[in-house]
Amino acid sequence: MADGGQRNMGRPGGRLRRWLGPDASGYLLIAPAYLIYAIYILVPVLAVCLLSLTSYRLVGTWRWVGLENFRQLWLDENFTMALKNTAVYAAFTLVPSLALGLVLAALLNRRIRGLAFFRQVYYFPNIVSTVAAAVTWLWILDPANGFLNRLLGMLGLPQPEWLYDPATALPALIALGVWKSLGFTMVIYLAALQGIPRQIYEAARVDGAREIDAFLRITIPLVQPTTFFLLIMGFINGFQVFDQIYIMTQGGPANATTTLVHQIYLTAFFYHRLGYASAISIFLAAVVAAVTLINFRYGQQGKLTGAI
Amino acid sequence: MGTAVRHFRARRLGLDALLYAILILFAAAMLAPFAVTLLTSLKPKEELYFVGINLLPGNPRPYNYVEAMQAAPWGRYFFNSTYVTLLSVAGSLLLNSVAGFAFARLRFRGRDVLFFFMLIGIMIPPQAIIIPQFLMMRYMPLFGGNDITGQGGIGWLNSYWALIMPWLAGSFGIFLCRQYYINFPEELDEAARLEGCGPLRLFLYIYLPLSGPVLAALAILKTVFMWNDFFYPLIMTNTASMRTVQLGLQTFAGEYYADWHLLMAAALVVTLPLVVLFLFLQRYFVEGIVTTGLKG
Repeated sequence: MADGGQRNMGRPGGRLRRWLGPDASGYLLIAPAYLIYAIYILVPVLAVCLLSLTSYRLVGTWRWVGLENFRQLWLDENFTMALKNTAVYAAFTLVPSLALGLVLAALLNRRIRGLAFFRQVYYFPNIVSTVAAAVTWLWILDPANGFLNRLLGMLGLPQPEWLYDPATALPALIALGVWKSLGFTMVIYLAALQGIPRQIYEAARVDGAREIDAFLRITIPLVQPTTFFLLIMGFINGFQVFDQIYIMTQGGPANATTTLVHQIYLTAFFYHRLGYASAISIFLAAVVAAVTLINFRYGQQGKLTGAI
Repeated sequence: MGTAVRHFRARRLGLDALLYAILILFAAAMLAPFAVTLLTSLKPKEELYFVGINLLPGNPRPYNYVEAMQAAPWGRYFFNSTYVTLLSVAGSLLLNSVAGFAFARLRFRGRDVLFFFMLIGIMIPPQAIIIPQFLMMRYMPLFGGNDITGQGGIGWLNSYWALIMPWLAGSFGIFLCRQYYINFPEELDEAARLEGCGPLRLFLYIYLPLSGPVLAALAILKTVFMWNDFFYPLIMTNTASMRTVQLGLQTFAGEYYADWHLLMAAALVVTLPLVVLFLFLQRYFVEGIVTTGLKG
């Protein structure tokens, strides 16, 4: 740096700068943000690792239990049920959201009128808070008076109990998840499609390819990096599902909709078993971190992956 | 005009009609929950139980909104959410941009190690560290009735400290800014340095005025995240006076679970600020999402 040592001696903080040496500017500029990050994120990451090795509860004595909490996880039916539900939720939200998102993006990428309108409408559910969406869907899915069953009744179709039936509760939550995330996948896909040169499609048409062929043979392979990225993002988001569970089903009926974060919440803040809940937290963090690392390593889409 | 061309045109028209039909059908499906919410919020209570589909309110009652807003301390909830959102957005813009600049443009020992450790924050889901965060706030010394060892009170729990402090900066924001600043040409720094411009002035006078796009994206992602967040304030607060709008809506839903007309009114009011923001700043929403590829 041109303005090291000498010039700063008269200024306030000059002594601190001299003590830090020629790299002072860098340290001082990252310090405020990095300290906040270190205190509120890094320290808790270390702490949750340590807590997971204890029998810590909010009150009373505790001891180190080694890996006992992690051994318990696999015997705990609530945990295995939560893991299964979370995986099912993530997978079955992802697949329709990606498939419909790509089809809608492809339809919108045809120089049609009202592009801005449709994009806006599809994206709308994404800005609604999960809490507001959950409250709204609670009413729509109400077995007796909700809009959905009224509609099904009018069409002469069976009217399930939705959130009150273990068989339909999770699928109903998945439908909410697809509704909320579809606009996001569509917007990302649309951006990717707009980057594909039109000449490729025109060349295919000259060669006699039908639209459906072009979609299958050109569009799908060319947006593959985007698909990979959306899979990763969707998986990460799906694994963190909690708000709608807490508001709509409380994990029921009969544990049919409990999830990993819901189990962390219950175990820590309802049963006060903070040590054991920390072990569940570590499991969740490990799954999500592993998936993120796969993205860092193999992903191409987005700047997040570009620099690393 | 040949038959073939006319035939082609007709087919083209048919395809377009089909295309629009599909797009409109999906638009209707996406908007249906909003329509149900809006129409329910205008119904008198007894109309909720009319048989049949009866979508439209027979006797519209806008007073539902007044009733819903008077049934809970919504003014307080809105103040809390606004305060927490504004402060954390301001903090993020200021602190993350400076730090991102330093990581991108300055050389200092340990920079890459520090940056690597910062990436941990991007990989860890926030819910996985809520337990130590809760304990940290609970045992904060000398606050909320705690003594110097952090015992005796509730520390920072149920206070703005807990709601705001951890969100003033973060690895995602630092990362986003760093990726933006790293693409600037080296000559810019050299020229400034020859003029006798130190790093802070280099940032304030040269980089900051060029930071519009990245700061707009960060501000929007952060605003949506803070306004809509539920899990974190759920853990950190326990009285009505500290609730944010999302917590307020959830407790309201618990207390008025049969009054769907009031609930739908409240859900719409809570959503309204972001809808307005979205309609005005749409371009930045979509651009921010596409360039960062991340949700807030």
